[in-house]
Amino acid sequence: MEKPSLLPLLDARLPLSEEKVAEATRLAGVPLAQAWGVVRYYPRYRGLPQGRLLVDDPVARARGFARLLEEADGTHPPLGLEALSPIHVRVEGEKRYVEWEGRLIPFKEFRLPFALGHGNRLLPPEPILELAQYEALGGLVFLRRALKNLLAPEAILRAVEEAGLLGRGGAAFPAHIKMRAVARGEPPRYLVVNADESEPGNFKDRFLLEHHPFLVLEGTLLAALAIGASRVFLYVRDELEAAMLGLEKAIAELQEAGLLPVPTEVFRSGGLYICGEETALLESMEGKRAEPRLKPPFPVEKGLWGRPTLVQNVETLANLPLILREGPGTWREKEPKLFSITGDVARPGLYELPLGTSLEDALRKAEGEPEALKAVLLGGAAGVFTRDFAFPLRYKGRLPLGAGAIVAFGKEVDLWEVLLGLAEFFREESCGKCFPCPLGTAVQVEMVRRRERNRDLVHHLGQALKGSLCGLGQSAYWAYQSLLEVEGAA
Amino acid sequence: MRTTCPYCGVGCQVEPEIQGGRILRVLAPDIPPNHGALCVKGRFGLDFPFSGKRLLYPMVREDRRQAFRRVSWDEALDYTASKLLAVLKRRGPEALAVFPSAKTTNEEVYLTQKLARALLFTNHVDHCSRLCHSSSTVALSRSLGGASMTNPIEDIWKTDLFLVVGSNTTETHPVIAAMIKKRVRQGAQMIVVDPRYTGMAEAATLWLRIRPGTDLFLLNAMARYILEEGLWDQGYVEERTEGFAEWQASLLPYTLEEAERITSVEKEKIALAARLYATTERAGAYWAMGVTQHTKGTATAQALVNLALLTGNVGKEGAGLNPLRGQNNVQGAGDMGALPDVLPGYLKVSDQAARKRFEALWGVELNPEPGLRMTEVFERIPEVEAIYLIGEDPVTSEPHQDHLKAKLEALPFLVVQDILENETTPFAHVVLPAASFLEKDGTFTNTDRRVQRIRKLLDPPGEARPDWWIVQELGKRLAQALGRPWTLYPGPEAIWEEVRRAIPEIMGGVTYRRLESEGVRWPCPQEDHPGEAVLFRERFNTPSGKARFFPVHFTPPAETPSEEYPFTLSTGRVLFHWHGGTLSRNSQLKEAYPELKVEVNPKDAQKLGIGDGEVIQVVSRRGRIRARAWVTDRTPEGVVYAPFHFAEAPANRLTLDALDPFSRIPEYKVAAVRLEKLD
Amino acid sequence: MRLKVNGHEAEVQEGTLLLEITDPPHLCYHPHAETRGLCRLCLVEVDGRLLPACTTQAQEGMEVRTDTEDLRILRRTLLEWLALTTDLSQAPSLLELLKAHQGRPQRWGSVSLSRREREPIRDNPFFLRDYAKCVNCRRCVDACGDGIMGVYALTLEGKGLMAHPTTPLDRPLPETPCVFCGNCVQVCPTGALRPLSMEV
Repeated sequence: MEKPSLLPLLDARLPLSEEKVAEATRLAGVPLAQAWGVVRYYPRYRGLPQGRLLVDDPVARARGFARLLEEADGTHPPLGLEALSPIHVRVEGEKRYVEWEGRLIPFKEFRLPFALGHGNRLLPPEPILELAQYEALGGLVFLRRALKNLLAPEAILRAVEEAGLLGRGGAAFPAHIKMRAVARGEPPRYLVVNADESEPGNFKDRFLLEHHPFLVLEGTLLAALAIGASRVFLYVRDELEAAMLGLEKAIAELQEAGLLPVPTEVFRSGGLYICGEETALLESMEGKRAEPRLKPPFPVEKGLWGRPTLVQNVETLANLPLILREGPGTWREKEPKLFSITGDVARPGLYELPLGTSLEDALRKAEGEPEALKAVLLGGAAGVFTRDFAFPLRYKGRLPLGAGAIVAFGKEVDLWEVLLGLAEFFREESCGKCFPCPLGTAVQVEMVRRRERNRDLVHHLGQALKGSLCGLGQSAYWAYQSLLEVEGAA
Repeated sequence: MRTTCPYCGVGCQVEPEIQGGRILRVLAPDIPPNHGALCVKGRFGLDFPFSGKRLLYPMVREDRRQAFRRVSWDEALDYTASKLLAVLKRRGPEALAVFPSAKTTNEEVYLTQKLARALLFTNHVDHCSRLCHSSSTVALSRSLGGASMTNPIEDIWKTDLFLVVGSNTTETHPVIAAMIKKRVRQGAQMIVVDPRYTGMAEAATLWLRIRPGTDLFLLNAMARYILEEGLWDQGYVEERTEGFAEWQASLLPYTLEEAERITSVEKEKIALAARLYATTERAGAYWAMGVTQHTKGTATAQALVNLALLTGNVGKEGAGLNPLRGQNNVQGAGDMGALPDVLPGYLKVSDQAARKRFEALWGVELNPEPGLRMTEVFERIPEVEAIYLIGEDPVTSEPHQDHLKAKLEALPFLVVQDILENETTPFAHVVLPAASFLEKDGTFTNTDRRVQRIRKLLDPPGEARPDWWIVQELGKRLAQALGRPWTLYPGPEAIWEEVRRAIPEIMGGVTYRRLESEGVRWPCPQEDHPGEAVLFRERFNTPSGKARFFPVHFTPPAETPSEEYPFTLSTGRVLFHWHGGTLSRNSQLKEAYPELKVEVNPKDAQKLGIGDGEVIQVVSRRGRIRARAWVTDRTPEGVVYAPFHFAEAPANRLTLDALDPFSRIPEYKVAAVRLEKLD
Repeated sequence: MRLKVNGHEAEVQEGTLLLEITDPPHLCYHPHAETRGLCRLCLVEVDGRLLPACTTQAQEGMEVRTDTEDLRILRRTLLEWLALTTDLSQAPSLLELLKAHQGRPQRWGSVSLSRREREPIRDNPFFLRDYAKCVNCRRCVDACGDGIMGVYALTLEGKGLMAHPTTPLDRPLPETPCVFCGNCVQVCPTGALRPLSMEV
């Protein structure tokens, strides 16, 4: 990196004063204007909302939101706790706690209950927080091979290509194309793991990071070796403090064991939904407001500090050791995908299912009854309501899979209330850089609030939002439009 | 309608919107040199023509003890002509001096110097450049045969290293500074040599905080180091220069160690600067008053010239020697011959062929003796008996104010022609009200030799008249009495046509028609010639075609700090004001910077118990002024900095009139002072 | 190089911006600033994809459409939303565009978030900062910083619809690095920044 990044410098000085901002600015070597723009952008520098906060996710919206809110001082954006929702967090100054089973558990100690995980290939049957344990269960074989030059970068790239691995962050872009593009670029090249999972309804990356750090790191390091990265950053969602600590510990253990071929560090995210957009993410790492860049150039050409950069989702990378172990062909036959299933199902949790599983089967795994549901929200806030239970869950189908969130809503749920939650979420999370998104998401809230069903108006809303700079605005109307379709079908 | 900004030499194109007797707003068109950008002066400071202090009527008085009488133009001009003629008759041309203004148009300057030379037979013609870049002019002329920026402003975008010496560009040429800074953001390097932490120092990739007045030593040491390390451009030096061996030998004393001792810049930094300047393919030198306003101003400018020649940086794109000119038309004033030793086009007064050309054109015989320079003219009062002064406020801008005032008191006849009252008006016998830049047509030539139009957007107030009209009318009266020819022109374009005929080799291709869309750079001999961007690509404008090295040596400033006067005073400008303040302090700009602030280093302030914003006295051997202290580490320890725009607290009451032996420029940048608290 | 614009063949130089050969409305683009691709008014359809004409270079064989039904809806809607949330009284060209697109802002009802209530800031002798009229195109921020001046006296406050330019530490302009060049005023398309001399 060319300069010390501004965000960690500010983080080290929380709570901020003007003098501390000025000091961080000096150390980062940036204009005060830039730093002030940053301070007035990210929530933790502006000042977090304080007190007992209801986590405002789609499940909470389905459970009588107004009544729940009466017992809280305010709301908190979704946290990947949908399986436990409704749930509260408490914020006191810089300290944050999850209210769980009658106790206040600091963020840095709170992990999703392990029992939420259901799988066997990507999700081992037990949490693996120690290096020895990971190795005993068959981990590190390929990293060791790569370190001994028994596994060439090209072999890794070829395996990824033959597996046909698609990005698990939501965009489903072929992983090997990005990897090869970066590998072709001029060094120094960087790898940034996008661990900023913020899409409502999703908690797959959170679960992986909290319970399987070595799996994530092995996949990451294999990718780093494959593309010849000189540095690796794990950009982890601000609130996932336990995950960050776990990763730092795991990195130290790997280093100790001589198994860290590339300098690797954890970068605390800016704490906004938009930070998960890959170019906004890079902007925040460079000490700027997390706002999407115009593309092209793409990060594979000009990424972090203008260098070729691979930005890849956690789950995508976690698949690398598996692909190498099973062989791309076998892996591909039943391509494992993690689904976060919550809402009106008996056993909410994280399910590893082969791509192509029908929505109905997925729901039944979680002991949900499709017949008893009004609709499912598929993909998250940037997703759609659907009643197409026969829909095979795979990428590039009729419906967007997103990162794999499935939120089930029973017959009695007021979907407009859920939609209003999503609309408000988008309005709050719109960065404001381009015009359609901040305008359209604000207008959309009013339309949803008055339950506007005028098809023309909703169509025009969509047409304008479609013109947004990034995926946030481009997808912000999907749920609205789909709700009208679901209503029409019902 | 489009016109040219009347402030600094960048020559920004502006489009003022005027309605109901005021300026609504000022926009800038997307054409060179500024491409839509402006600074605060061009954007918000163009309203001085609407000031209540405009001179509206001709005024005359026979004696300074009398009050001015408002008179008709005829009476004022007749009276002026008769007085000038009387002096001419009684004392000869040596007793007369004419100072054209670098704020007026090319046409007006041309006509004014023509009046002096063709009618009054005097070469005592000079302008404010004497006080700013005369040192550069001497050095550039004798070495290269031309005194101007060698490279155009747009070459900034091709420059990979800027060597900026003694130029507070962000405040004095803000639009050029913005371009340079942007180029640096794009990856170019910038070495800034300045005692003060200016905006340029802040943007620099290497800042050399030099002790005031020691630039010459630094530059010579850089040259010596470049030679020692074999980083010089041997081919260029052999092919395109002369005088190298003698100059090389002169560098012997300028070691890095000695340079560190004298300049207080670490020798590693000097070496690094030298290495960067010598090894970067496109390295451009930019400088201003920090180089020139010293008793060794010419020598320092020469050291820069030598350095650029040594490294082959003259005559190619993205490099060059670039003195940044201070006044809107100071380049043009020189081009038009507002100098004691040259006629228009820099043709030497002493050169018979040159004189012949103008004698043929003007139909008169010309004085072959170069005249006195401005600073010398004032010294020569009362042998000099009459001065015709246009658009200038020497009381504010000349050094050692009290001495100058005494001289003006002793001057038998002073004509002041200006748009606004200033500090010199009270010394006048005749006041002639002139039209401002918004009230007349003509051309200005900016710092990179671009001739640009100004356009009449308004009628002059009261009875004010364009300078060209006034000069022409005065000339008519003089010519009649002397029986000499004097052409009367219908307007500025016709005057310009005479300029084109007079100096076709540089202006022949510059016509008003071409200037309609945008400015044209000289030399431009024919109408189909695009105007030369980079000078001296093939040969220098010297008899041999080669550039010449001149050995120059370091001498200490004329006045150094003592026990009684322990601080070094440096004077200069600030962003919001301009020169004597006549224009800027009669505009909206005064609100942003109403009074003098003197920069004092925090350590010095602490020692003396001076607080930020406290009113103090600054005292030199020549006088004292009151000023508010601005406690800031922009200025180094031991140095105080005072802008000179403020008539009520004139920094030039403190400065000394020690002059450079070649250019006769005063040493504005170094005087010894002490600071006193008020009790 | 040849491409098709609205069905017609066109011959242009390599590297030409689509904005130079087509004429969609545009707001954030300014030749002196580096702001690009933000307002999305100049979006055109290139081989079926929506791309800003101000950032997209012409390429051999491109098929560009500038005036489809969808694009008209997009532009009309954006203009309506701007008028709905922002005081466009000093932006005659935008009002004209709105009219030309048969815009009816009121069809969207009211919006609780609005820029219109912001008080003008009068903190310097030269110009007004009236953010009720600001559409957040960022030209001013860019002109002050990277684009022209490199002064960095302007930055952005907040996010989303209510994001708007501010000064470092929200100080009055005279207490910032501002040099009052007014280049921000010149590039402001909506009169949010305007010289005090224009106030009656």
